[in-house]
Amino acid sequence: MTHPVFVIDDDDGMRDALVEMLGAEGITARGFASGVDFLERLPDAESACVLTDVRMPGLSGVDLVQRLLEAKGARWPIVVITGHAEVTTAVALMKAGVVDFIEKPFEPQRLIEAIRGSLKLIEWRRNRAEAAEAVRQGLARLSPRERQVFDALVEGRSSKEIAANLSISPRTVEIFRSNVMHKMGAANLPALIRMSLHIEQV
Amino acid sequence: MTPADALLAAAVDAAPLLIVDARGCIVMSTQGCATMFGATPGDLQGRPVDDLAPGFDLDATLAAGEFTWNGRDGDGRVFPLKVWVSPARGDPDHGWVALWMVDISIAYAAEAHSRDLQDQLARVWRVNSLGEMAASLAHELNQPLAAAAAYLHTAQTNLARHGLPDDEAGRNVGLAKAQLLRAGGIVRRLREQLTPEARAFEVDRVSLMISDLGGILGMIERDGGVTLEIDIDDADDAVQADRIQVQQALINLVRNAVEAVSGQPARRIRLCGRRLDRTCYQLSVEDSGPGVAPEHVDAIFRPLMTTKRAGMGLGLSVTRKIVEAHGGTLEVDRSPLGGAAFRFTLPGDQSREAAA
Repeated sequence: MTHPVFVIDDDDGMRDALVEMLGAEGITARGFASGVDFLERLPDAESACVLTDVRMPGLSGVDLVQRLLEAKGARWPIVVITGHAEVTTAVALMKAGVVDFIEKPFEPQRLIEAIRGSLKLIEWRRNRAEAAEAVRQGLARLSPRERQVFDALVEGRSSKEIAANLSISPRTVEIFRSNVMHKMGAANLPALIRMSLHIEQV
Repeated sequence: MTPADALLAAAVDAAPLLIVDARGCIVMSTQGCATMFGATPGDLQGRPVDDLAPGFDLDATLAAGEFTWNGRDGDGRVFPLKVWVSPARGDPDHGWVALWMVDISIAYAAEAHSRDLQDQLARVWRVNSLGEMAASLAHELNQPLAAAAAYLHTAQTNLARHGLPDDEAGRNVGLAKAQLLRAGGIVRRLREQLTPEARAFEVDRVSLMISDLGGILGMIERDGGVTLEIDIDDADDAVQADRIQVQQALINLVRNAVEAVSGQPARRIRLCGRRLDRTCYQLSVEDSGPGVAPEHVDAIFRPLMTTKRAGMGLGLSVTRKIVEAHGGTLEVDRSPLGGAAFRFTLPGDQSREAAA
């Protein structure tokens, strides 16, 4: 699915040119004349990419970025355009969580790639969130004993070690192991280990 | 001698006075005058004034009432010497004249220093404002250049979609886009070249920076017909700063304040300095003018925005650049004097903080 791109620039020509250019690339873009205007009429898209100028009257681009990150977080990646790269601004924006930073005047293709990159980022973040959710649900189905076996397996322990640690027979471990694989929907051990990487974010 | 006579004699002896005859020869010198020339009153008696001020012309000095000569003392040091004359009219027979002689080299030096500083400030102003102009122009030009390049890119995409990616029109559009990007590159280089050189931050004292400006501030006060109060806390005023740049920022703010109060019944300006905490020292320039309307606060800092008839509207934006280069922000609010208060902070002496 395609996510919309919201273009915020106080310069009418610049804003229109960006919306047209993204449109020609098959990207749905909509322009807003100021950060204040954008926040007042904040679209309720689940996910979107925001392309904003830094230097604008009223609400500055830096303030807008902070407000958006608070309101929308990672679901709305932000690409920033600036008239001239000021190192301090760039560092502050990157730290705040902006995904890309483009200096004006820019090679148009460079901007299109930045937008495509952030649209892909939305997909990637969504897939990752879905995977994490699946893992969370799988883990919820494990019994306490199965969870112990899961933790030991993803640490790379052998059935023999697990049996010794938990004071159960290797054969019982094998049964638990196959239950874990089944409940988590993991085809093999590497798949199970990949799932364990999502646990931090669950 | 009565006590009053003794007092008068002492006062006269301390004064830098010469009594000369009609030929310009010294009849008598006071101790005060002899000391100035590194001599004793006895040494000078009978000698021509010409020895003390080569080329001295009594008649010309008498005609003018006062005259500045070059004085020369016993060690050969030459200094500007101001001479006031007063003929002893009650005694026309002798034709004696009293000369009041003052070494004005200190005043000259102060004036020369003020002039130097003013020249330096003018140079810094030119560099700063040119940089600000270039930055502003680059920003303004980059908007249409980037927009035009984006439109041309769209045109290329559309031509490609219609199966004409390599036709002549598409090639021309591509070339036009490249030229626009080249123009953008020129603008950017220009801006980089005109950006003021890296600034030298040194440990300095705010009170010294301001006393250095004394002559210039005095002139602004006189010419502007304003009352300028200077209230600088000098107890703990070490900062890390580029002196000439900070002086430039302060002069800009004071000049703005003078313009703000002109035509007002009360014309008061206050330059204040206070240590806020260990890491920063605050400077403020306040005035009794009409103040800045809240809706104009954003606009006044923008380059090339001005409400004045003269000037290019670079003063506040240059001032803000200087303040930001020192890690501070230039803020404006209401002053107790009734008008605007512009405030900013300078970083404290970091070497001392590290040691503390």
